[in-house]
Amino acid sequence: MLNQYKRVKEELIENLESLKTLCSSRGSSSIAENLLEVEEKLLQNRFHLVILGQFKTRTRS
Amino acid sequence: MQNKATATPLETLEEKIRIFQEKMEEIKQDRENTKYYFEGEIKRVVDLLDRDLESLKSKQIPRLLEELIKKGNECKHKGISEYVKLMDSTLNNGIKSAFDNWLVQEEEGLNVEHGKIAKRYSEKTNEIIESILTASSELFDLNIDKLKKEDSISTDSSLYLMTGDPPKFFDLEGAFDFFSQRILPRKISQKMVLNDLKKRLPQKIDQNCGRVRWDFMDRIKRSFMNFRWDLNQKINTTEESITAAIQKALELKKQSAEDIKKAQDQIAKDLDDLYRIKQRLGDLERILEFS
Repeated sequence: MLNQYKRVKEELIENLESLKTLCSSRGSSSIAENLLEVEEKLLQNRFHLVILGQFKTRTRS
Repeated sequence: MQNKATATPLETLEEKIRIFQEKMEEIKQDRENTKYYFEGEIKRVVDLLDRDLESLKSKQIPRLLEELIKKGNECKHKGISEYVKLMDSTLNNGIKSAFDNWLVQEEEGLNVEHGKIAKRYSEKTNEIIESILTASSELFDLNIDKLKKEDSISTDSSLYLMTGDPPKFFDLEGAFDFFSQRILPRKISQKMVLNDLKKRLPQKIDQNCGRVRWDFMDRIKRSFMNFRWDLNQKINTTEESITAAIQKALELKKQSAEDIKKAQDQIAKDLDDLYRIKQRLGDLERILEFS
């Protein structure tokens, strides 16, 4: 699971880099900045964790 | 869009740009109106906070004073040091139970209100982005993908919590100076302590309410401003990208046929690269979905 996460993360960063290069070469600096922000979040492992539903309490029988 | 614009005769292109700019003016006006509307909404939340604080003060100050008078009567036989200690602990416990609970509830309530406003602002932002895309796609007969639900800004209000920590209510240090009363006879001292409490408690609560109001207000405003800044960036990026594409095409139209061909080849190459990246990102998305 952890290996898969690392692999997906690396590939994602690689693709973000390609996108960033493409945007910069076309002069789309705002999009390139947004992509950089996403990339930084990914590199620092900063995510929004959303927990849905309730925790159930279990009582001992 | 740049490709399509490059293939459009100069005169037609200039006319299309004029229509696009007109449309953008309308959208800009809509953005301005939205800004004022949401500023009003934030003010409404602050008013709500003010009403809650007033209601808290009007309920809790008499209750606390009554509790203190009752405790004072019960402790009449105690020495002044113990009397002060007991009164102090009654006051602190009373404050903790009433005000701490209030803070938790108020934090929740304000978060709900902030979430509702943020949700409406997100929806409005999505609408504005959508209208910019529609305006540009209609102009150049392009089939631009509508914002997919997962691409658009999340509109789940529970995700928009205020930033920062909830305020703490009371700092009672120095609120009641009992020392001077300790050297007087017990009955007089006790009376002075109680009178002191009656006089200074409402003032102190009022001051602390003011501090709490400022803390909450600052967080509400700051949270919303940060949020609005992020969303405005998305609108600006959309608008800038489209304007830049048209502008580039316009400049290109004034160049030689050879240069136009070269630029069109570059656009085609960029587009291919873009589709390739999109394909790879789609693959990664599927991996994540099934893992």
